[in-house]
Amino acid sequence: MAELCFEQVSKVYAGHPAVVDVNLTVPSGSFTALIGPSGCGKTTLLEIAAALIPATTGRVLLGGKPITRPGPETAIVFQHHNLFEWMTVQDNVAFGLRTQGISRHERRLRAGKLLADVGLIDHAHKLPHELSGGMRQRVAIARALVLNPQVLLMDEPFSSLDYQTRRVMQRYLLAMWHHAQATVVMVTHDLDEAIALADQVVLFSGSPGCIVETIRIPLERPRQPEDTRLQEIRAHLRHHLEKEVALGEFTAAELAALRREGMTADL
Amino acid sequence: MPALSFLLAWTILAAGWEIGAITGVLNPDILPPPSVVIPYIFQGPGAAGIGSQQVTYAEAIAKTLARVMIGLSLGLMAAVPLGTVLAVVNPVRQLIMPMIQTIAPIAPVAWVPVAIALLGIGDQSAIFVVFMGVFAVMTLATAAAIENVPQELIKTARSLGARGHRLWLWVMLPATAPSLLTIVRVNFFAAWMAVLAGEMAGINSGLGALIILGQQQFNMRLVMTGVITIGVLGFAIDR
Ligand SMILES: Nc1ncnc2c1ncn2[C@@H]1O[C@H](COP(=O)(O)OP(=O)(O)O)[C@@H](O)[C@H]1O
Ligand SMILES: [Mg+2]
Repeated sequence: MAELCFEQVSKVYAGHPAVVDVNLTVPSGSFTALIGPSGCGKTTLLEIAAALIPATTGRVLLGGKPITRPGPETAIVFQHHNLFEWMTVQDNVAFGLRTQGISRHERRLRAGKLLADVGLIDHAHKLPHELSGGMRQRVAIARALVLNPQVLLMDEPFSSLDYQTRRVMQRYLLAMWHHAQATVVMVTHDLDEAIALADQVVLFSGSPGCIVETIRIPLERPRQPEDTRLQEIRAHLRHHLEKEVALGEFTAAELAALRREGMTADL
Repeated sequence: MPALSFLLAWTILAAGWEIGAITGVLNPDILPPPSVVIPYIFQGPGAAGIGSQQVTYAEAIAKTLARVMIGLSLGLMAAVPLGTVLAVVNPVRQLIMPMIQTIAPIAPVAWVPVAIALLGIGDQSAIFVVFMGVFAVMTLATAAAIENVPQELIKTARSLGARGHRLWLWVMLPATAPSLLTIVRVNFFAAWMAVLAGEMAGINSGLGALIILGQQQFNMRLVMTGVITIGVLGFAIDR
């Protein structure tokens, strides 16, 4: 567990700025959700934090130290599970231990324990394609947690799951997070997901992306969706997102026309 | 039951051919029927040709198979490393890729005169023709297979601590293995066609040469023996 800190982070891809001047502090052990229209650089930020790609300028600090290369202290989970299809579930989970040169015996022990924790021990010797979508994503999360990372980065981890599975996975994630004590940064498009899980929701805007607002949600988990304070935050976030999407979809002239029609009075 | 349906297909083919020969629809002197060719094959079609050009049936088969396997293996051993470098090192790609792309579409039989001029008639020429017939295509396919490994999969592996030779051994190789197997399989056919074309076009030994010899001696039983053997072997090895 350690504080994650983005300092003036910018990324330029072949002359095109993707994110500019991102300053963000994610307190140790907290849960932060990133929300914003697609293309605003959320994935880019996570990959910089995981040291998978370099920032063009600025830096990311973990517990005060700059992150320079991928290490066991940071784990990342993508929307696609990215499981190694040729390995059993257990070998997938143990992969991080293998790269650290940990003995086969201990690998089997630790991966087995983690699989038992996530209720997948019966599937340990199956191949990923034999599992359901939700199970695969659970294996992916277990694989990410095997090295006890201080930071868990998740890029829309549940967006490809159906609604019910997603809800179950969110509860599951809360339990895992509680257990793993990691600092979590999660990108999501799902407002309900963000307000159900996060201590702070960071709103991104436009392209190139930048932070427009950070909203704190100082409520206990698990949270009741009917809570009026949550409802207010939800309405605020929705307004922001719809505005961003409208700005991305329509030209200024179209927006003016829509406004005259009274269709988008609040944009 | 695919085995059964193959058996049925072959029986119908043979029966049609036999009936054609009996009724005279197919000239049995040009297309000797199965009742003639099959006993001929089992009796072992003896030595055909004279002097140094003499080829026996078993020798021809062994030679052709060996050439295919050696040419294909050499092609693979060259294509995998080169394809990998092309996929990974951009300057090399810029320089070498156009050359490989130029060589790839050349029909293998076009290399026969070059092979004979360089290496004379014999195994080396045949292997060279097979190699040239598969090497460039296999290189391009290997490069494509490596580029098709999803970036996210590689990033996931890196974030789990895999890098350098371990990343290649534990992730890139198994991730590309299915494509590599397909590449070998597809190119086995290319190699098989290449060696026969080469053997018929001047490399005077092997199954291809057996057919040409049959033609020159107007020994149609020998020609048909060659044709059937090529079909059966190609089919069997691909199983
Ligand atoms: N490897 C890349 N090369 C060039 N441009 C990229 C690359 N990755 C992302 N981009 C661009 O950077 C911007 C931000 O992308 P991304 O971080 O994926 O956004 P998000 O995850 O918020 O949808 C987009 O405009 C995208 O097209
Ligand atoms: Mg993204």
